[in-house]
Parts: sequence; structure tokens; C-alpha cells
Amino acid sequence: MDFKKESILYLILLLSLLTSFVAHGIGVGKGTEGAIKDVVDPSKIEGVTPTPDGGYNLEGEIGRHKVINPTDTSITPLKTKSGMITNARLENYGTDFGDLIHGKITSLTDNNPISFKSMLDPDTRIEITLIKDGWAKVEQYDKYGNLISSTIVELSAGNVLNEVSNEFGDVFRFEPNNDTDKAVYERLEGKAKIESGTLTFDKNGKIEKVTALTKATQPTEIRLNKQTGFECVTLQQDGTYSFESSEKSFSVTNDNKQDYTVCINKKEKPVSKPVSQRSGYVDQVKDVIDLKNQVTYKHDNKLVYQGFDENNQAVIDLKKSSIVINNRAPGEKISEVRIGHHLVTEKRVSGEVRRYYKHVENPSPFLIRFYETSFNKIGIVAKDEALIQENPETSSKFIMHEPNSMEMGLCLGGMEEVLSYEKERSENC
Amino acid sequence: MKKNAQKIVKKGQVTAAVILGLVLLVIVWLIMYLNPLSTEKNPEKKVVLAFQAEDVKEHIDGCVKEVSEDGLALMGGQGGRISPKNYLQTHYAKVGYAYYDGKKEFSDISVLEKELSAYVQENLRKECDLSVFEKNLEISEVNRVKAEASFKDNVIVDVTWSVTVIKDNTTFKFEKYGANIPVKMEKIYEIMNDIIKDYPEVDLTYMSGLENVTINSYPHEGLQSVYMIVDHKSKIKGKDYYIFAFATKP
Repeated sequence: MDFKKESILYLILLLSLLTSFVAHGIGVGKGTEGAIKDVVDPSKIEGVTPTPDGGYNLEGEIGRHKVINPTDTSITPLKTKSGMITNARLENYGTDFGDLIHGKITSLTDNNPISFKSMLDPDTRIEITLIKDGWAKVEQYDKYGNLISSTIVELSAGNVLNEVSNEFGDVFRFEPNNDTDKAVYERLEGKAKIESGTLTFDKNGKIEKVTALTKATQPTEIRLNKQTGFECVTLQQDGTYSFESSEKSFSVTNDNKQDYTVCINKKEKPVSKPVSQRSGYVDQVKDVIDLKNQVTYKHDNKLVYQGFDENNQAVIDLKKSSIVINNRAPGEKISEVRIGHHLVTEKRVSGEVRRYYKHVENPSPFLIRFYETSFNKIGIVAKDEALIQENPETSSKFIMHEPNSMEMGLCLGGMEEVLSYEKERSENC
Repeated sequence: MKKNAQKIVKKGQVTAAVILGLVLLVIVWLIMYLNPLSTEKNPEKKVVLAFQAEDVKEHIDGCVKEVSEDGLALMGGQGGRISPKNYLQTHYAKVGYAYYDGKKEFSDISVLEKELSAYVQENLRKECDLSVFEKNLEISEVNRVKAEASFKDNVIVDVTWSVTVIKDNTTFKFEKYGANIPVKMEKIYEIMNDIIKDYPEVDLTYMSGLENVTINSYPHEGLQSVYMIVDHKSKIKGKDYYIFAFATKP
């Protein structure tokens, strides 16, 4: 009987210990040393001292605490290791050795900076600048107080989140879309997930952006690196990846209903080419952009290529100024390419792939000088400011001029100019 | 001896008579030839006159060709019109619209044929100087020219113009003239129609199948454009191509 009683006692003790571990998150993930202690009044936290303005200095905090519904301290100034928090209402916030680590904060003033310590990466802080009445909610623990494997930040429109590295300075910036009630930035090891907002990497004069539209039902995933920026981006429908530098600026938008992965190969961080038919590859080393499926490619914020067919593959070589469009089984609407004031469309009409030309009022950059497709043996080349489609078999040419060339073309009855593409340009014009 | 001498005298008389006869024949022929009153009865003279009169006809045929070519060149620069009413003003030409505000400006090729016919009709008498023949010939003409152009494989222009040539009481009357100009207007018209068929979209696949043609597209203000078709199979005014320009406004 004694033995039985003793066993039951040990069992109860063991269960209590386990329950205590689970409840306080001990042994889950990194940075979990020390249990979270729930408090109502911050003045009860060990190491916290009151400040002359009626607030609290958390800098000397020992351990990790969760302040539950601090009604009287909601707008009380808090001094943390990362700076002062003032003019803000805090709900259920958590602290860790003098830093804010989670909670919901609503700002009572404009341009109000709030800093959170990242429990995922000790090198990183999450800095949020709130507008008046703007709010942010940071989660790094589950409801049981266990650290989760990511930092989740929810934000209202107008606020800005900056991920700041002690080593590299500002690394990623997240801004909610204007049309959203709530944007989400979830930071995981080596990647991020965003909803209803734009994530930016701005380093050494190179700016990369990923935009997740508010209407998207799934988050946009970004494989990233604090030093080199984005590696692979999985865009949802109408989501965009863009790149900008002093040399060039372009963007890729997913026009597919399903997700679409764009990988970016950089000299400082090589990334292999994805094999999926719903993918694109931006090779910054070779200056070649390889886009499969239904996508829109813009250069200098102007349309250059639109692929409408899921079997499309467009290879844009920025060094050679060329585009090659491949498609083994083209559907009805295949592609559109804009060069200057010219729009070249490929589509299937009565079972045959045909090419069409249209003059457009708003010009795109004169980026493409060699245009080829796998389904039409006749290509288009640019000469000076004109595009020429020439068929040597029939001795036919279609020359698409830029707008300012008309008067010259018509001079002397147009004959000299017209023939200048075959003979020497007339000096009379 | 005496007989021999008589024979020699007789032979000399015969020879003299033959020579005299020949001389007389030549004189008679010359008199007949130079006597204008005798041409009616002289077919050779008539042939010569016919040649002179034929020069007048050939000259008029040449005029028909030249005036037709002028008209075609003008039409080529002005969108198929001699005097375009709806046109795009450029520094060099009034380029007539073939497509304006979503509508085609031509119902069919006969519109172009009528333009050229009217041009030839109006300008042939002005441009065709018959006074060069007036030194030798008397020329009278009826003040009425009828021209009819048809655009088939080539441009054919048929003209009716009554011109009378008189000399030495001989009258030659000419009425029908014509020109066959190797300008492929029918083909050019088809190309123009194909350009504006689905306008503002132009079928480049169709264009690449055309033979010996260069088509230039010159965008202008707004979404207006001037298209210039250069047909290298045509020949006009000593050049191995013909240019046809027209304007479009979607």
C-alpha cells in the first residue's frame, strides 16, 4: 500500500512538472530560457523601475513577462532597451529582458516608432512606425506561451514595418496596401510570408519589391537573405516582383490564377533555375529574364511583354535586346510585345497562328531590337527607330516607324526615305 | 563598110531613144510626185501622209500615258484621291484618309478608277500640246474628252477624243487612245483594304506573304497613321516602284 501511494505521489509530481513545462514554454525553441510570468502591474516586475513621468523603465528587467490588460498603463510611457514607447495604447504586451517582444499597440500620435525584439533572430529588431490610430500586433508565442517558429506582425494600413539588423542595418521594409484592413508580415527562418502589402529590400542602390494584393487568398512567400535580398518569390495571382537600380528597372507580375515562382540569380548569391512551368528566372548575372506561363513583364514601369498562354516561355535578353517566345502548343491568345509605339500580338485565328501590329499612343521603351517566335519563322528587327519585318522569300517588308519620322518619310514623295532602307539615305530629306 | 557604118548609127539612135525615154519617165514621175493634185491618185503619197498623222495619234497616246501617270502619282501621294476632301495635312502632302473614325472611306476600287478617269478627262487637253504639229498639218479637235480607267493587273486608261488631221486635202480622224501603265493598283488596293480591315490591328502575317512590297507605317498625332505602300513590281515615270500613301484614324 505504501509503495502504491508513493508511486501515485511521484506520478502526480511528474505530471505537475510536465504541465508546468508546457505552460511556461520551457524547452521549446531558442531564446526560451526562463518562464513567462504573467503580471498585471509592470511595477511588480523584477528590475523594472518607475520613471519621473509616471512610466516604467524596463531596461533592468530580469526574465520574461506578459502584462495582461494593463488598463492603467495603456498610455504610460515605457522605456525599453530599444527606446521609448509613448503615446500608445498597449494590450497584452510581452517583455523580455527590457525589450518589447509581443502585444498589440495602437498609436495615439502620428509617426510613432515602436521597436520589438525578434525572438527568431537575435541580430534583428522589428521596428514599426505607426500613424495616428494605426495599430500593430506582434506575435512570437502561442497561446500557451511557447515560442513559435516565426514572428507574425499584423498591421493596419499606413504603418511601416522595418526589419533592422544589428549587422546590416535596415534590411526589409513592409508596408500594408492602402486598401486593406489588415496586412500580415510573417518572418520565418530564411523566408517571409506577406499578405496585403509590399515587402522591400533596399541595399546598395538596388531595390527589390514584392507586392501581395489584398484580394489574394494565400500569402506570398519570399525566400530571402539579409545581405543579398530576395532569392525566390512565390507570387499569388496579380502579385508582382520588381527590381530597380540606376541601370534598369523592371517587374514581373503573375497573371496566372495559381501561384507563380520567380527566382533571382545574383552574382553574390547564385540561385538555380526553377523547373516548374509556373515559374520565371531573373538572371542578374547574364541580364536574361526567362518567363514561363502567363506573366506580364514591365520595363521602366511600361509594358514590354505579356504572356497569355500557359505554355508560353519568353526569354528576354537585356544585353542583346532580344525576345524569343516559345510555345509548343499555342492557344488562342498567345502574347503581346510592346516596343516604342508598336504593339506586336501573336494569336491563333482560324487554327493558324498569326501576327498583328498596332500603333499605341503611350510608348514603351525601345527595349527589344530582335523579336522571334518559335511559331512564326519571320522575325522582326529594329533598325534605327523603326521595326522591320522582312520576308526574304517574298521580298516583302513591313516597316513600323516611330511617330517623329513621318514628315521625313513623306518628303519628296516619300520615295527617298522609303528606299533608304534598301539604298542610301537621301540627303535631300 | 557602108553597111557597117549604118548599123552603128542605128544602134546609137536606139540607145539615145532609150536614155531619152528613161529621162522622160523620171521627169514624168517627178512631175507626178511633186504635183499635189496628183496625190489622190498616188497611194505612196498617202502612206507618207498617214505616217505623219499617225505621229499625232502616237503623241496623244503618249499624252494619255503621261497624264495618267501624273494622276496616279498624285493619287499615290494623297490616299487615292486627286483632291482629297478628308485628309491629313503634312508638310509634303494632303494624305487622304482611307479609314476615318472607325469607317472605311472607300466602298470599292471603282472609286479610285473614277478619280483617275476624271483627272485624265480634265487634264488631257491642257497637257497635250498639239501645236507642235501645226507647221505641217492642220489639226482640229472636238472639245470633249472621255476617259475611262480600269485597275486590273495594270492600269488601263481608254480615252475617246476626236482629233482630225488634214493635209493636202487628205483627212485623218482619230478617236481612241489608250495607255497601259504597269502600276499594280488592284493589288495595292487589296493591301490597303487588308490594312484597314481589322484596323487598328494590322495583319503582319498577311503582309509577310505579299510579294515585292514594302509597307511603311508612320504613326502621327494621337493614334493617326500614314501607311505608305511601295510596290516594286510597278513601274511609273521611269522608276521601278510605285508609292501609294493613305492616312488612318481609328
